[in-house]
Amino acid sequence: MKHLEIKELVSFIHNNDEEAFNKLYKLLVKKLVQFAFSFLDDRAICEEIVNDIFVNLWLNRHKLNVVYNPKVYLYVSVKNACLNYNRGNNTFEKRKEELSEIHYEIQSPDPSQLLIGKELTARILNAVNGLPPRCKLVFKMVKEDDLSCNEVADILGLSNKTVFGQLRIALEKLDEALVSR
Amino acid sequence: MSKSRFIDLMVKSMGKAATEAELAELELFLEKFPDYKRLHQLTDELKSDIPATGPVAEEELNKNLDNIWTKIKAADDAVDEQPEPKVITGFRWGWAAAAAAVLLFAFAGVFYTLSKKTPPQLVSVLMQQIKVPLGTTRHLVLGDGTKVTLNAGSTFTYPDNFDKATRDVSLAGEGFFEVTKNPKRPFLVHTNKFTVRVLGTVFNVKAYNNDKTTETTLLQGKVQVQLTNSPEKTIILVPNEKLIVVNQPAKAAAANNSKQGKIEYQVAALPDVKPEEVKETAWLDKRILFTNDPFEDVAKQIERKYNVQVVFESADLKNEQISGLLDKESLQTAMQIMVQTTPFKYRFEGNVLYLSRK
Repeated sequence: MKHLEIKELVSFIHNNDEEAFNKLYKLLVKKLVQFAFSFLDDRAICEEIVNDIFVNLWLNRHKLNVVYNPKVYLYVSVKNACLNYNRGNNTFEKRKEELSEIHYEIQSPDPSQLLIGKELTARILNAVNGLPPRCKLVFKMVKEDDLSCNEVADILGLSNKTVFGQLRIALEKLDEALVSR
Repeated sequence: MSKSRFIDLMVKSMGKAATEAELAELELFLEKFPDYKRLHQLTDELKSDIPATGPVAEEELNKNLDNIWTKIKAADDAVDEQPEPKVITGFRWGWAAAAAAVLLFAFAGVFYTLSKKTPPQLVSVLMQQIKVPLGTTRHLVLGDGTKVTLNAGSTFTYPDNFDKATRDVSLAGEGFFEVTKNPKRPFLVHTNKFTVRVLGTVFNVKAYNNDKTTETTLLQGKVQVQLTNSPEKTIILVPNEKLIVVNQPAKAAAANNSKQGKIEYQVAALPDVKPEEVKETAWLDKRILFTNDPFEDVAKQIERKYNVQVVFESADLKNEQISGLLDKESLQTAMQIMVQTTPFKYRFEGNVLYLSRK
């Protein structure tokens, strides 16, 4: 669904479709900024980085046909830009430990569909937010950004196994939170 | 059938890596163990989508998009419109080289209009210099998207890309700047007489070495000007203000009295006129607009616009105050009109225009 949509939009952009570019931007900008926010703690810089990536996306649109998975391509671009930015400031090592600050915003969808009570919801959110940083990032990328394990592995430069492992940990923690009532 | 296996399956389905068989197995789990269903539902619910964008968020997105398109346009233009830049090599150009450079630029101009896309140059030196020949103007887009229009006879030096803390360019001549906003990197225009420091504004700088004054006129935003001779002094201009610095204060001071010589600069407000009647920027439309200005100053502009040399045969004519507007007329027509209102004679000898009292 969404993957196909993104692929289609990118192929339109490859053919100079400005409207498709606007659509793609609106579709992804928020998630990409959020993702950048896992690496940098300055929201304005995150936005600037993501905007620059879109500028380059358009300027290099003629080469987009060789991009196999545009979504992964964009996430990797954001990650690299963030790391490059950090390299300049030499704070990445420091920042690595601060990954736990990751902004995990879970918006409970339609409350009527929520089958669990308020108290339990809080417990679950606590469990998610208490996950180790990398684990939380993986979980968030799979759930929020609708990426597959393979894609997450590609983006973060981890092995498939690690990503599966991290997801497992996340689910086990959630299960614990559910059971221990 | 263990819970561990169930979680495995869930991970696989979440990560879109489950096979058909595994998905079926997961279904079976959910049927057999209603308890497990909870975890499944819960993780599903956690999948938060981007909240619907309200009108405010939508507006902001559109504003961001506008910025992005401006940046794209600027980058596109930079590739398309870069005129043949000349690289400063450090040694002094001899006369022949200078003549060759002028020829090159004239040729480049022709070439440039013939084929709009000149390939981006591979330049190893950081600074680039552009000399605009008399009789034409030049448009430039710098690496940061700043737009510069250069008037005839200007020399403009700028770096390939701005990776220092400040964006420094220098100008001898006249330029109209529309600076891309970047609060982290101030944009500095250096001239002989002063340095204009801005964050993102629209302004004009007139700093010809052979003019009597050096001026900067602000149209939008805010600029800060630092005088070369008295760096401790900074002057802040607001829109529609103009700073005028006298080019030879020392001589003037000696001629007058020492007290007056102290007044090196003055800030003046622009007369309240329509944008197309602002004198300072008329040259952008290839016009010369003058109201009670000394003939000598107008002559300088005529020299630049028409690529001629103007010689005053009667010295007192230089101070004659004249008013008028030269638009697309040829120089001949312009002179014919001007003699109707001002008593003077003119004659052409090749590329030189002689003016004298009647």
